[in-house]
Amino acid sequence: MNSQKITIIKPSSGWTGFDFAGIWQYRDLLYLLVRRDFLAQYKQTILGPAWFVLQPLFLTVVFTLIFGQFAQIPTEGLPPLLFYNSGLIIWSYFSSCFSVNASTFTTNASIYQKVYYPRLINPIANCISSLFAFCIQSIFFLLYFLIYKYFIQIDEMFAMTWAISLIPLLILLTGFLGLGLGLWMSVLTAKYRDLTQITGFLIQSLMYGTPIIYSLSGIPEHYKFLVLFNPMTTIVETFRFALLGKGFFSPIYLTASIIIATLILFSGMYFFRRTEKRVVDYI
Amino acid sequence: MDSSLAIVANNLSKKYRLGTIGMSSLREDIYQWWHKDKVKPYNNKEKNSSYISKTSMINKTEFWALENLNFNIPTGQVVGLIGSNGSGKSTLLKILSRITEPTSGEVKIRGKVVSLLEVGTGFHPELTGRENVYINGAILGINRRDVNERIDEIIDFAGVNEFIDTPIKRYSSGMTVRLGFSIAAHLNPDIMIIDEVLAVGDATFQQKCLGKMQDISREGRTIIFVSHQLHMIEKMCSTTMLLSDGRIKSTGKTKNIVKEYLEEIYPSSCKQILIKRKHREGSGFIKFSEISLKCTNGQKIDYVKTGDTFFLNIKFNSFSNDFKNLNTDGACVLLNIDNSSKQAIGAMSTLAIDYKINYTKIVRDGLKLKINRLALMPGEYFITAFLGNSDNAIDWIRNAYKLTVIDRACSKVDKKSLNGHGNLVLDYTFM
Repeated sequence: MNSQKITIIKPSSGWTGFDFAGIWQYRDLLYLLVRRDFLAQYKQTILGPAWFVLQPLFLTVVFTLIFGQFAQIPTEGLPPLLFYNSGLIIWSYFSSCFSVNASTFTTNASIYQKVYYPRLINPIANCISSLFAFCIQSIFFLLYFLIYKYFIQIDEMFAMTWAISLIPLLILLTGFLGLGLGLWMSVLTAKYRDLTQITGFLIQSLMYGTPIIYSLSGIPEHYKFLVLFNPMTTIVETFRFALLGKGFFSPIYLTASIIIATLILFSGMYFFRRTEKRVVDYI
Repeated sequence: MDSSLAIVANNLSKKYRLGTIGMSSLREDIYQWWHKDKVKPYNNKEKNSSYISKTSMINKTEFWALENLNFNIPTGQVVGLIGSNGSGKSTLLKILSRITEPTSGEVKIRGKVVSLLEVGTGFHPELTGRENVYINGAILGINRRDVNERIDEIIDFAGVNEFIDTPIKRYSSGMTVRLGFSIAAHLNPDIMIIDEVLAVGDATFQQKCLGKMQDISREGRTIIFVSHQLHMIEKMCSTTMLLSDGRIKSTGKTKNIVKEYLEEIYPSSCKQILIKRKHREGSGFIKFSEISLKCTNGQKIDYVKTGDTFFLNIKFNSFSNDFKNLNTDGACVLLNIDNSSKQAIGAMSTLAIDYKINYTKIVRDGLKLKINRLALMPGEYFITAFLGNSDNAIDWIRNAYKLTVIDRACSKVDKKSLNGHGNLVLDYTFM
């Protein structure tokens, strides 16, 4: 009996750490939540995971028509489908991490009022769940890639590059950014529910500030720094460089992205931790 | 911390802000912040400015849900927690289960806590019962291996064997509750916190749960049990804590505490003085002066239990001797019983049982009414008192007496399933 752990519950003063130990202790919950998300998504809809593929494909087709055909925005000589699709799959991973986590407190309010577990489990689980969609989309990208490579004659050469080994890092960075910004947003929406309206708008604006429908090389030199401020720019460009061999790759900017993403993540976690203690009292 | 104690609370307090519960909108906050800056300069000149009154208003909207709670709960005890709505029970449970933080003070807890503030928290309707068992276990902080070991027991206890691989959305609410309780009960927490959740299940399952809880406590685990069903508290808990307005009013043997609580919620209604009642009709030669409740051994009581036999003592008085000239023809005392929704439930009349009223005698000695095996469900009833003869009403007071009927504690027969089906307890047997 005496060996049992004693928990002391008292008002927390100041910073109490990120509680990584707590998250580790609840790792089973993390696993089960991810599994639950996947199964629920799979069971609920008729088409199931097919949505993961259809949605970006549909967007890609729209982009190809509007930006490629009508507006004639250059795609660095790449087939528009591959160009847009490559940007979109990494972007949609970011945007789903961001948008799902932005409402963490409001979505889980009923559970948070009934049971305690480290609240960070939910956002982390969301980021991992979103990877399923990313994986399926990547497989389909490869399919498109192979079709273009071997069945359709293209003037411009494209090929995967060594930078493909950077992809795990890019995914991690995207997850960090999505999670970090999502946590920031969740703190804000918990306090001001009106801000939920902004999430969608923010993601949309960020997308136009990221080279998805255009390429960085197409931007006038003196505006480039504006786009480069956005850490997603480097990630998307590097991702495209890795998959198609066209794009902007700079170790300096990548390092900057790593630093910015980490800062955003930790600041987001910091405010999230501060909020989670009081949130059930006013949510 | 003493090794024989499971929970120790020191000066535990929790403050809430009234009015600001719920979310503030950004507009309000910006407005407040803007006006704060604008009004502030005036404050320096005029002391009684609106800004000061505004801040003091904010201070007034705070309230203490819990105030300086100090208590110890020994390991292996089943402790009841009772108190009327708003007394702080839920807040205390939320602090103990780490859902919210106290404002000041601290609690030390030994071992793993599983709290059942709501059964089936986190159940996902699309997933099967089995999948939900694992998730629910994980939410309660139990890992998969431990759930694996006990999953058969859990399913058996809940009695959902046939449906365990069916999505939860197809479950009846009873099945969901049974599964939820079963999970928590089989995960061997050191401390189990149960809040009113068993009220949902049917009588058989409630019995089963009580049995399981007794088993758990016998294994040396601690249980904190909150319920408004006092007979369950009396059955389960050796010690009970009574909360009132965020403070511990008393702690001690369950029987005494339950009694104290009943006195708190049903304040002394044993005697109803009727002399000063204004709303009455009739000639007024004789007036009802008092109605009081006594149990069969003559002791005064405040409330009765369903099935009790008891006395209503009715006293009369008269300011002159004129009543002696009253017509005794058709003289009667009539007591109508209405329920709390003012529906007529029944009546008791001296005429109906051919009891002759003697005016002199009732003014001198009063009237004693024996009610046998009260066949009313728990609740509040209102008795209208009428005294009259064939000429007219002598005294007539509507809602003269409020009769409080409570559940028969520890009754063998569970009448819970009959709640909401009227006021009468019927005497019947099935063959």
